[in-house]
Amino acid sequence: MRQNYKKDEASSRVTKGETIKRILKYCALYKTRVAFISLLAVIGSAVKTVIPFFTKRAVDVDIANGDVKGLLITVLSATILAAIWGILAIVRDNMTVRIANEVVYRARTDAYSNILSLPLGFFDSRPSGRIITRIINDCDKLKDITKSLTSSLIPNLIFLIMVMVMMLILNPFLALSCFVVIPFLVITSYFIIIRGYSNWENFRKKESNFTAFVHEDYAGIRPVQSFGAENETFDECDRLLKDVQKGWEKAVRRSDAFGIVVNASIALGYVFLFLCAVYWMKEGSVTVGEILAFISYIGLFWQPIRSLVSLYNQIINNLTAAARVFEIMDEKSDILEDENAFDIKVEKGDVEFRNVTFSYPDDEDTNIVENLSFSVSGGETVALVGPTGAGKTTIINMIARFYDSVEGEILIDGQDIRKASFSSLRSAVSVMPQDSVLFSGTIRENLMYGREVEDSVMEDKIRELGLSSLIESLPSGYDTLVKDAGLSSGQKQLIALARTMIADPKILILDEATSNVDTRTELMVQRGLKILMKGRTSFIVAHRLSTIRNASEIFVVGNKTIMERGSHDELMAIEGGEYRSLYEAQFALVDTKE
Amino acid sequence: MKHNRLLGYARKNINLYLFCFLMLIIQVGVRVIAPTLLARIVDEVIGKRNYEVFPRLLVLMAISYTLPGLLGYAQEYASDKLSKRTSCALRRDVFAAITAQDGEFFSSRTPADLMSRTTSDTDNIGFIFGFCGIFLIEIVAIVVTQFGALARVSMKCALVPLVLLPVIAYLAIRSEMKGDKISDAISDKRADLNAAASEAIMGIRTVKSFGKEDKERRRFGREAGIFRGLSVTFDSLWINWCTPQSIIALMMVPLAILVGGIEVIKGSMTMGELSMVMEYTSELSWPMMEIGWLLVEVSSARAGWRKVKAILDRKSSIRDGEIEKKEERGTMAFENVSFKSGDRTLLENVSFEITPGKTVAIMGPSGSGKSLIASLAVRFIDPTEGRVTINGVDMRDLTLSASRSFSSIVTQDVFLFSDSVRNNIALGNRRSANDEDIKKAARDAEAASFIEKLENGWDTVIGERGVGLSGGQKQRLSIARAFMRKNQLLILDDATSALDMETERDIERTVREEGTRSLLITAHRISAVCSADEIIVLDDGRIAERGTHQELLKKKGLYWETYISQYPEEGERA
Repeated sequence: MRQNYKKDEASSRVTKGETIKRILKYCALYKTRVAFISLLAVIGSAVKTVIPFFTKRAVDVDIANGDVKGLLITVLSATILAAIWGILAIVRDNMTVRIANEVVYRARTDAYSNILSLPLGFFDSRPSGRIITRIINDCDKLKDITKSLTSSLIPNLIFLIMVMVMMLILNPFLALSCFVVIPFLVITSYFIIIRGYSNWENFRKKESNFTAFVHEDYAGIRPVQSFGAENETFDECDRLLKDVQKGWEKAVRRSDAFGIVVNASIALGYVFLFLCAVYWMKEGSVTVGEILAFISYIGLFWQPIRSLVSLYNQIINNLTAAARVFEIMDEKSDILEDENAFDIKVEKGDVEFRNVTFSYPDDEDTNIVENLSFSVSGGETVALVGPTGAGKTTIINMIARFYDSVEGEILIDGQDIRKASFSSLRSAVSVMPQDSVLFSGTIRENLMYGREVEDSVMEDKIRELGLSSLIESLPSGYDTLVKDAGLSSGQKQLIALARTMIADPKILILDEATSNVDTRTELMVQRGLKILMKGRTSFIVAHRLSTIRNASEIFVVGNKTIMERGSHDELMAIEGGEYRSLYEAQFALVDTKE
Repeated sequence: MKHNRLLGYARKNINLYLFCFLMLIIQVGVRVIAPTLLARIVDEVIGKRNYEVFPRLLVLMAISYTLPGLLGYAQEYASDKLSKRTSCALRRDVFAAITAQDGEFFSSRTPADLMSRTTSDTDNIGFIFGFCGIFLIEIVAIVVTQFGALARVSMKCALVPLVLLPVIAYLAIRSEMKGDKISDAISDKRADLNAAASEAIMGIRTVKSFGKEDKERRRFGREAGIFRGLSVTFDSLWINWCTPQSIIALMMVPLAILVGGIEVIKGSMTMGELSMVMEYTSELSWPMMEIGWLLVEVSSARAGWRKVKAILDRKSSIRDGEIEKKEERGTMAFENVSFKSGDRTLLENVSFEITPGKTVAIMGPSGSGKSLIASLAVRFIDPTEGRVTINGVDMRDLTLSASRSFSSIVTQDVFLFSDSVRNNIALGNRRSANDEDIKKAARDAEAASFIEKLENGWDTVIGERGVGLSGGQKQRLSIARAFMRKNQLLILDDATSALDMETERDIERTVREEGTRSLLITAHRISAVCSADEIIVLDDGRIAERGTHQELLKKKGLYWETYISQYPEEGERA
C-alpha cells in the first residue's frame, strides 16, 4: 500500500513493553557504567537529603546554645556536602550523557543499516521524508529515554526502597499507613498512561503527516508556484496543522493530569497517616517523637515517587518515537540473501530466464510478465523496446535481483542468482539507472564508488573514454568536489558511465537516458557506451535508434512476454510485425517529413 | 527576547496567558498555606492533643494539597496549549514565507533543511512561549517575592542571595552563550547527518546497483559518530556549567543560617525571624536548580529563531506588481531580454514573440540557456535587462498570480505529489475542478487510458515524485496537469524527452487543433522542434539561428549539424 501525507501511518507493531525492553537491552551494553551511575546517584541523593539535617542542627543546637564556632563548623559541613553532591552529580551526568548518546548512535546506525537492506519497493512506496524522520528525529528521542532510565529510574527506585525500609524499621504500622496510597497512585497512573500512549501515538502520526507534507511541498515548489497552487497548499498545511494541534491537546490534556494524581496522593497519604497516627496515639502504641520523625520521612518518601512518576510520563511521551525506530529496524526485506549463498562466478555472462512470472507485491493479481523464457549468450547486446509500462524495466531489474521473480528462475552462467551472495552478484551485474546520481564528495570518490582501484587503472579508463580533458578542466582535477565541479547533466552521465566502467561488471543493465545534451557530449556518451558494452552482456531499455540498430538482438516487449526477437533487419522483414509498426510510428516520422 | 514579531504571536493568546498567571498566583498563595496547616496539626493535635480541631484541619490540609494540583493542571494544560499554538502559528507563517521564495532561495537549501526549519525550530520557539516561558516567569516571580520578603525580615541575611544570585546569573548567561555557539555547530552536523541519509535513500538505485550498502552504512556511521561526539560535548557543557549553579543554590540556606544565626546569638534577631529567613531562602533557592534545563531550551529556541527569522525576513526577488488583471488570451513577447548571474551572462539580448496559435521552439543543448527562457516566461526569474511582456504589459508590473496564470509549464523533471491522480491533475484548481475537465485533460494528454487501468483509477494514490509510474506515464500526467489550466501558453521545457515520438506528436496536435493556444517548446531533439512555426537555435545564451525547419536545414549551420548527428543516415544521404 502506498503511503502519503493524507493518511496516517499504521500504528507501530512494536508494543510499549517491547520498546522499553529493547531500550534496556541497549543500556545493558554499558552494565558496569550504569551500575556506577546508579551508585553515584544514590550517594548523591543521600548527601542531598542529609543537608537539611545539618541546617536543622545549626538552628536547634548551635544557635540555641549560642555556639558561634559550632555554627561555623556545621554550616561549613553543609556547604562541603553541597559541593560533594555537585561533584558527584557532574561525574554522574557526564557519564550518563555519554551512554545516552552512545545508545542513540547505535540505534540510529542499526536502523539505518537495516533500511539500506530493504528492497526498492520499500523506498518507492513512501515519501523519503518519512524514512529520514525516523532515523534522525525519532532516534533523537531515545536520548531522553535512556538518560531517564539510567540516571533516574534505578537510583530513585533504590532510594525509595531505602526510605521504605527505614520507615518499616522505625514503625511498621505507621509505615504501612503511608504505603496505603501507593495502589491508588499506581492504578490512576496506569489509566492515564494506557490511554495516554495511544494519544501520543496519534499525535506523532499527525506530526509525521505534516512533516511528510512540507518535505514534499518544498521539493515540488516549482509546480506549486507555477500552477499558482500556493493558496491550495496553504489550506492543506493549515488542515494538517489543525490536526497536529488537536492531537497535541488531546495528548497533553491527559498526561498533564499526572500532577493532579500526585497531589491528590500526597493529600491522601497525609490524611491516612494522621488518622492512623492519632488513633494509635490515643491507644498509646506510638509516641509523639515517632510521629514527628515520620512526618519528616514522608517528604523523603514522596520525592522519589514524584520523580518516578514524572519520569514515566516523560518516557511515555517519547516512547512512541522509540517504537517507530524499532519498527523500521524490524522491517524485513523480501529479497533475502540465501543462507548458504555462494559467490557467483561469471566468466561468459550467459543469461537465461526459465518460465519467469512476476507481479508486484502490492498487486499480486496483475502479472507484469508471465512464463517468460529466453537465453542470451555472453557478450551480446540486447535492446528492449516496446510501449511504456510493458515491463521492460521490470525484466532487467530482475537480473540484478532488485526484484525477485514470483515463479521460475534466472540463471547466469547456469547458476541460479537467488542462491548467489549479493555482493558477488552486484559486482558481476551493474545497473545504470536513467537518473544516475553522483554523490557528494570528490570526483575520484565517485569514480571509485563501485570498485576501489589503483589511480593508474582509473586514469586508463578515463583516457579510454576520452574524459581526460574534462577532468583536467576541473579546478582540482580528480579531487574536485562534485558540488564545485559545475558539471552539466551530460557530463554527469559521462562520470556515471566511467564509474560503471571502473566497476567492471560482466553484465551490464542500462535504462538509456534520452538525450538532452549537446552534440559533442552526446557523441562521447555514445562512444563511451560502445566501449563499455564491449565484451559484456548488455541489456538496454533503448530510446535511440542508433542503439537499437547496433544491438545484436532486439526484444520487443509486450503482452507480458517477449513478442518478437531478432535483429533490426530481421524484424523489419516481418510484414505487419510489432517491431515494424513500432519503428514506423516512432522513428520514421522525420524521414517522411522531407 | 525582544522580538516584536514573536510578541505578536503572544498577544493573540493573551487570554490564555492571563489565565495561566491567575492560576499561578492562586497556587503560590495556597502553597504558602499548606505547610502552616501541617504545622498546626503537628503542634495542636499531636503536640497538644487537641482532637477537636483535628477533623477540620485534616480536611483543610487535604484541600490545600489537592487544590494546587488542580490549578497546576489547568495552568500546565493551558501553557502546553500555548506552546503548540505558537509553534503552529509560526509554522503557518514560515510555510507561507518559504512557499513565496524565489528560485535562488531553493537552489541553496535542501527540502530536508527547510523541513526542520518548519517543524523542529518552530517547536523549540513555541516551547519558550508556552510551557518554558510560563515557568520562567514563575521562577522570576518567586525569586522577586521571596527576596522582597527576606529583605523585610533581615537586610543582612538578604545579602547572601544578593551576592550569590548574580554569580548564578553570570554562570547562566555564560553557559547560555557557550551553548548557543555549539547549538549552531550541532544543527550543521545534524544537517550533514541528514544529508548522508537522504543522499543514499534518494539515490538508493545507484547504491544498490553497485551493492554498496555497506559503504553507505560506514559513511552514515561516520557522520553519526561525529554527531554523537558533538552532542556529548554539548550535553557536558550544560552539566559542567549548570551544576555549579545548583551547588550555589544548595549553599544558600546554610549560609543564610550562618548570617542569621550570628545575629540571633548577638541578640539582634529572634528565633522566629530566623525560621522565616530559612523558609524564604529555601523557597528562593529551588528555582535555581531548574534554571539549567530551561536555559538549554532558551538557547535552542534562540538558535532556531535566528534561522526562522532569516526566512521570514527574506524578501523574494520575484515580487508582485500592481496589476492584478489576468490576461486570458494574447501574446507573450521577449524584448531584448538578458539574464546575468554574478558576472556571467547566461542569456543575451533575446527577442521573440509568441502570438496565439503559434508554436515557438527553442533549441539548444543543456546549458545553452533554453531553460532560462522557460523560467523567465513563468517568472521563476526576472530578466536583468530587457522585459518580458504579456499583451504589451511588463510582467514585473503584474502580480505573480496574474503573470503565472497566463501559461502552464511542463518540465523534464516531473514532480508529482503523493496524492491521488485526480488531485495531481487538478493542481492549482482543486477547489473548482470538476471530473469532466480532469478527464478531458487526461484524454488530451494521452493519459486517460493508463489511468483507468490503475488499481483505483482516478483515485489511485501515486508515490512521491510519481514512483510506481514509468517515465512516460509521469510525463503524461504532468502534461494533463498543464492542459487542465486551459490558459494561453503551454510551455514544454524539455518535457517530451521521456515520451515516444508518437505521443509527443499527438499532444502537439491537440494543442494546435484548439487553434488559439500557443506553444513554447524547448528541446534538443530535432523531432521535438521540427514542426514549430519558428525555431530559435541558442548557442551559449545568444540566438545563433532562427527560422523554420526547412529554412534552417538550408543554412547548413548549427541546426543542420545537430540534425546530422541525430539522423546519421540523412547525413550519408546528403
